[in-house]
Amino acid sequence: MRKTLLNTHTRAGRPCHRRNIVPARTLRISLVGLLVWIMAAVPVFSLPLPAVTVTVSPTSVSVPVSGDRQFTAQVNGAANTAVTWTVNDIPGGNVTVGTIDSTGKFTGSAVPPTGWTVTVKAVSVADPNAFGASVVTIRNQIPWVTSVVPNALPLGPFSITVNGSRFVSGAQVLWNGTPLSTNFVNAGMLTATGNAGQKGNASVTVANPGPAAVSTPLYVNVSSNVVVVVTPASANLLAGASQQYQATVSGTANLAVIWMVNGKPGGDGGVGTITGQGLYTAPGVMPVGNSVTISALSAADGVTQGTATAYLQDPLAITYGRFLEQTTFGPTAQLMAHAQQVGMQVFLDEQFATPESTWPSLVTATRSDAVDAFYGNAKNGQDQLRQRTIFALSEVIVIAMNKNTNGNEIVPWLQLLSRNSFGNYRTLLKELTLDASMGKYLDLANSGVGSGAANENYPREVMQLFSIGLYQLNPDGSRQLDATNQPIPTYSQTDVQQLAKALTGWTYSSPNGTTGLGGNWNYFPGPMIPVPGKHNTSSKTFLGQALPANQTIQQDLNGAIDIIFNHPNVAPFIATRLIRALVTSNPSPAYIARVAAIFNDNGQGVRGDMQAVIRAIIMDQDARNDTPPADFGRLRTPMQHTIALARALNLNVNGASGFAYLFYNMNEGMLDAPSVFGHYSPLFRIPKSSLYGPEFQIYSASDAINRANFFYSLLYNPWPINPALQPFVNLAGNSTGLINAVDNALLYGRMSPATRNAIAAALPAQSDNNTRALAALYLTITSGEYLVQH
Amino acid sequence: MKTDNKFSRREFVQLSAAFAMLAGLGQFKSTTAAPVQDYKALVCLFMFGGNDGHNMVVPLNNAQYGAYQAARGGLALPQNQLLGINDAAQGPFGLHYAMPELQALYNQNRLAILANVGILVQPTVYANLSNPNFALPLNLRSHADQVVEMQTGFPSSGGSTGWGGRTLDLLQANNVGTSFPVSISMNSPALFCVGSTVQGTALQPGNYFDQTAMNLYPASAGQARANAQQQIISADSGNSIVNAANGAMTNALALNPLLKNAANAVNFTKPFPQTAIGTQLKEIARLISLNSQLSVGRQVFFCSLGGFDTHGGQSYQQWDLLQQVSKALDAFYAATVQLQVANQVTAFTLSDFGRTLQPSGTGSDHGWGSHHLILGGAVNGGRLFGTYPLMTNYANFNATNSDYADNRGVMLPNTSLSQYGATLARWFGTNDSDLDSLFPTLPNFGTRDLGFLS
Repeated sequence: MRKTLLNTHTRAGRPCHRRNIVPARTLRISLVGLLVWIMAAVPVFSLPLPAVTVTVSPTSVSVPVSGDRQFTAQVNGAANTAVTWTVNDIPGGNVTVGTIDSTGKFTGSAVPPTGWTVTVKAVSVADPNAFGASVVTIRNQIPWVTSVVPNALPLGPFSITVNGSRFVSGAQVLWNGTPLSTNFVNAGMLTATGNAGQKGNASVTVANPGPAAVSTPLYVNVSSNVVVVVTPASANLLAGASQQYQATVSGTANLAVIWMVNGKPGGDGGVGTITGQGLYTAPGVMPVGNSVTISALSAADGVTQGTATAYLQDPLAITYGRFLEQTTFGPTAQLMAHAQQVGMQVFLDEQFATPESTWPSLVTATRSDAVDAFYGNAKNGQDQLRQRTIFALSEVIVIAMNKNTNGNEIVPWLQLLSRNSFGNYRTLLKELTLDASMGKYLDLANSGVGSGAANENYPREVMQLFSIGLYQLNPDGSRQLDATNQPIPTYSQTDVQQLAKALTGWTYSSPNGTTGLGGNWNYFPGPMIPVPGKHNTSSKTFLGQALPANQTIQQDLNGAIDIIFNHPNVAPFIATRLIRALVTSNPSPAYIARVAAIFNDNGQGVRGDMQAVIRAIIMDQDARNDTPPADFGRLRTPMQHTIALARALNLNVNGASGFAYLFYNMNEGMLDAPSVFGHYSPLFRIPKSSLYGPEFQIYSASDAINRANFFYSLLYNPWPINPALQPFVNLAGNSTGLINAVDNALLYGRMSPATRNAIAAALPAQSDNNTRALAALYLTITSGEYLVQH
Repeated sequence: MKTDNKFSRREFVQLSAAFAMLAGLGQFKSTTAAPVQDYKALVCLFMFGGNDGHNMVVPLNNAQYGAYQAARGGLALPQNQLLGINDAAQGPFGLHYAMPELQALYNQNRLAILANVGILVQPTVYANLSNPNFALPLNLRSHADQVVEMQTGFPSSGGSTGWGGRTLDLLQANNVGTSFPVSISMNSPALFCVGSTVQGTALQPGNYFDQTAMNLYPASAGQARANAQQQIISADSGNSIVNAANGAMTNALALNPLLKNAANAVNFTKPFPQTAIGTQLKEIARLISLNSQLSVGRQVFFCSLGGFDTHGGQSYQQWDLLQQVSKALDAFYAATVQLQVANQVTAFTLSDFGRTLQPSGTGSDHGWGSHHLILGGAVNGGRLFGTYPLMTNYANFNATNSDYADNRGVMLPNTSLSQYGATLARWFGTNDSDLDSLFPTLPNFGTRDLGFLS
């Protein structure tokens, strides 16, 4: 009854649930209680007791063939205690069922009876209706195994000979308890065949037919020389992508393998499929855990296999992660979802339409205000693409606080870049020329107003750095060469001097917007204004074009800006700068040419349309290639890297003026480049490489350490771990789960297998979940994979 | 050693194979390396922005000073404030009053001045300037270019190696015994230090490259992180930019134990000023103190000070910068004396260019030639080398008097940077036959050794 209950319960199909929900001890008690209850409820049937009873002992017994056994009978309720012994109701039995003598001594038959049992009864002589019975099992003799030949085997199919004695026809050889296909040769020899599926010792026993006739075991050692190695051992794969695997089989002449995915030959739609030749195709939808095991099973032994791990990546995550790396200060979870929902073109439209973040006052801004706004807008602004463009332009058109020391002296420039990021480059150039911040930084303010020559600083840099560069360029950004293969300068010192004359006579504005003949002192809330009579009105010729004599200061300004802006270098020059700042340090000439063409004409005949240029940069095939060439990408600057990290991990890293001093140690003093050439040269090449890597100029060994230490401080502050990282701490009990979370948050699921394995190896030594989470994050954010947007 | 294998697998970081040897500083400590007898160091102090040499070294001869005063107007330094020095051949001069320490070193024959040196393709006179077919350096007066040209030694903006690094390329035999960096710039990377095979290394004073994240309890946890990082940055990612980023960290890990040792090397009896340039020169002195321990034979250092682009407010600004330079160089020279390497260490200045003699407002504009300083025990000091241009020639510059390039008083160099550099490189140990490849324009000039070093 109890067994039935258990079986019933098991058949209900939730043994696991049962184990989990009801503790075993509780279950047992309840079953016993149930049994008692049932027994109490069952009516008791009264049977008339016989007057005479006979009890046979033992009540059941096992006797070998031809063996004997003494039975005894106890008669109660009768004076005459004599009994008659029968076997299968045959008095005295016979040779088929076994015999029994008058004393109750039973002798088994030489051949086991059908069904292996007989019944011995003792029948009361006093009352022939009264008897006692015993069930006797007649078994074969227990066989004896003396040797197995051979006693060492390779994995896979085998045949063996088992020597011994007492084998009977129908005897079976058992391999680790499992019957083998056995051939009975004689009572001393059996042969058997099977398949060794496991290395190590296997037990060999012989079971004669029938119950309880199994030998003691001998052992056979199973070994294999077969080795299967699968390459690549680990790989990252996009969903739906294919990867060819190779299996190298050694230790056997049979090189064939069976390919499996997660142990399933050929795989399936859920985990991906693999051909007989090892070509794996990932499923279209990620399986849980995002990785599958590829294995190749040796056909030689049917057991040995080599394995590899394929990490399956979400192609949309990578596509949009890369897109947002280029168009923002770094993806957030929300932005990833939104961009995927609306698509890239609409995302760009939205960003072009997003209002500018606010900037500090032109009058009262302090240095801290300026730094906080520059960093804060970049980190938190909704106008992410504009902020990213401002950042890019700020390394092309530089003003620094080492000269413009007060916040209000630098904010006009920030507002100018912000206002013009999505405007027209000619407007930007013209506003820049009259910008009071720039007027101070490159000394155009009051040029020609006092004594001395026209100041050449801005006139030189506006050409060299802000528009046309040093050398005549082809539309694809490459240098034009002269007959002797030398680059051709775009301008000479004479050009600089001529342009300087054209730009004389400007001074700072003033609270009432006027100036005397001596010009004004520093004043930043508005653009510069002309000083009457201080403009050099001679004719000027620069870049091969003339500004006639006696033009007004405004005419010369407009004319000069036109000459610069319409120079054919501007498109490839600015295109290259912006591509380097947004997308990749080594753009292909064709990429530059495509963007330059849009700069020259946005499709409606407009030159210098920044929205069109940015769209062309971002949507270019080279930028959108999610499996780019090996030289693709750009190193993140410290500020970009900090903000990307904060956005991805939701770190509350704000108030940049409080930690701006640390950025000087990383050679990126915020709003404070060392010179008009910015924090790094756009032409800096990666050390010992022909590749450009402007940002590497501020990533030497010492910068690497300073950056790493700064980022670590962001992770562990406040001690012992930034509370924003709790989701990672919660996952840290499981290495794979933690690494997947870090990968998804920072690398969109494309963490390299090498990095994965290295992090996994480091985690067990960490003392708690906090330090495990910190280790996984730190090792990731200081790796090249994260440092470089690619 | 584990680290050895990691290094040897890295193909993209062009650290020399010997670099792998420096995984443990213990090797250096345990070896009682014999002092390298022929140790020499070149220390370049670059004055970024274009130092106004006209106001660093001023003629005191009355006629010349008068012409100087007339030309410079508001920028002219008062005659009685200049710090007098004398050159037997060219007469009395005055150093800027910010530089009394250097005046003293000049008078002790430890400091020499090289007058009117600049980047040139070939000897150039005024008449050449209007000849479109006459080869001149590219983009004179442009910061970006002149900073590059002064460091590469090439009168064009091209070039990816500096003449400091290239000199070390030629002298690698002197450095076979070391894996320590031999071409070191302070703070940020400098083209000057980059050779074709010798890598430039940027070090920040006081930063010994410890990672906070590796310092935790238990130590095995930190070690596990360090091992993982080594593995991650050693793996070939398949992307060159990613690999290069990992390469910077790889360099840092190798330098960590060596720099820690340098920090404890020595206490200097004459304190260094707590200025940016003082801190840099102190770190250089520390690193020099390790030379015998690290078996370094030849080292090039680069330190710098910015702010010399004095288009306005020059009077205060240049005083402030030059007094920093003077005090820091003074402490540095004393340190080399203390370390007994004064005769083996030569410091010298470079700058983008000189400035216009004629002021523009309260400052001056970009020029060309300028005067420079050479300091050290091996210097034939107390002398002015090159030819100081006559201020009296400024008012009537012309084809026969070619001291000036234009009417703004831009000095036309009469000594080439290649001669300046070749003289330093020869002292440093470069063979004469190698000097032409080091400075391709050197054959255009007669004098290959200006004589300021012995």
